[in-house]
Amino acid sequence: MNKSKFNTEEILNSLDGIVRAEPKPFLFTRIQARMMQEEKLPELAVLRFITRPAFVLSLALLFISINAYIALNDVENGNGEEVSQPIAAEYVQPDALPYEINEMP
Amino acid sequence: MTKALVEQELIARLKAGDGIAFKEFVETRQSLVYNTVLGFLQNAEDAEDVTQDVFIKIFESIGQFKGESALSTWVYRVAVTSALEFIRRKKRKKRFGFLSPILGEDNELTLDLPDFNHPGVALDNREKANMLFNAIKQLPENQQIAFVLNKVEGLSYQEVSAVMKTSLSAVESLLHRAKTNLKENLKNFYNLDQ
Repeated sequence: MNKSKFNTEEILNSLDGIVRAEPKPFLFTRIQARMMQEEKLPELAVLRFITRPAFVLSLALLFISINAYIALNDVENGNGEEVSQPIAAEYVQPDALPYEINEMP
Repeated sequence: MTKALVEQELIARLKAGDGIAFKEFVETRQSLVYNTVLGFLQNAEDAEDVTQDVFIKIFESIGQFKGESALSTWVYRVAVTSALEFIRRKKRKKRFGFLSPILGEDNELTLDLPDFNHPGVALDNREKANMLFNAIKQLPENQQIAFVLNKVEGLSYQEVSAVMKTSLSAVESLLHRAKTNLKENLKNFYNLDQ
């Protein structure tokens, strides 16, 4: 690296006599416009947030995780069969079997 | 009417949501806010955006101002906090830039623009000031605050201590450490003599 032509003291004192920087003209008008725009924004902000890829992905992951958790719990406890058997028993009535209808007197 | 009374009246009008008072407030303090923020951000466009944020924040939270400090001290605090928040946000964006398409964030330019020239620095000091501003960016936050407020905004040690809510001796120590670190940074970056 080339040696600089300045020493540290010179550089440290380079801000002596600095004048305040001014923003571009009509700052107040721009602030006013921004405030008016932000007043209209809440609904749009919600819409923007819920359509963000990150939000949609998180929601999908949450949905999949809950499903996986419930499915795994059922398999571990053997609930799948226990629940389905009484339901089957409840809906299949022996006196409503089709061969009874076609039975010859 | 004394300055304190004028300020009290302005605060009361701002608290009442008086638009004309807000306009007056912005016009009399815009260079204070902009110059402070620019000292930290070293980018005119970012400084302009953050300056607008600062005034909106002030307008929305003036009700919380209890008058325990001068209004300008409170304005400096809001400006410094907003500028530092902006820098942190920008650093975070840069760090996790690869995630931005997934996170759906704006793909705005997050790179630091080199060679910041403060418009208030005399022409023959521009190059040196540019080197100094580069070194300021590397300082720890507290030292950066003390140095920018004292050197860029021209606040006295007393005023800096009021803004930072710390003691006078703490400010002196912060500024001393800031200068030592700046010398070290400058020596390392630019291969300088003492």
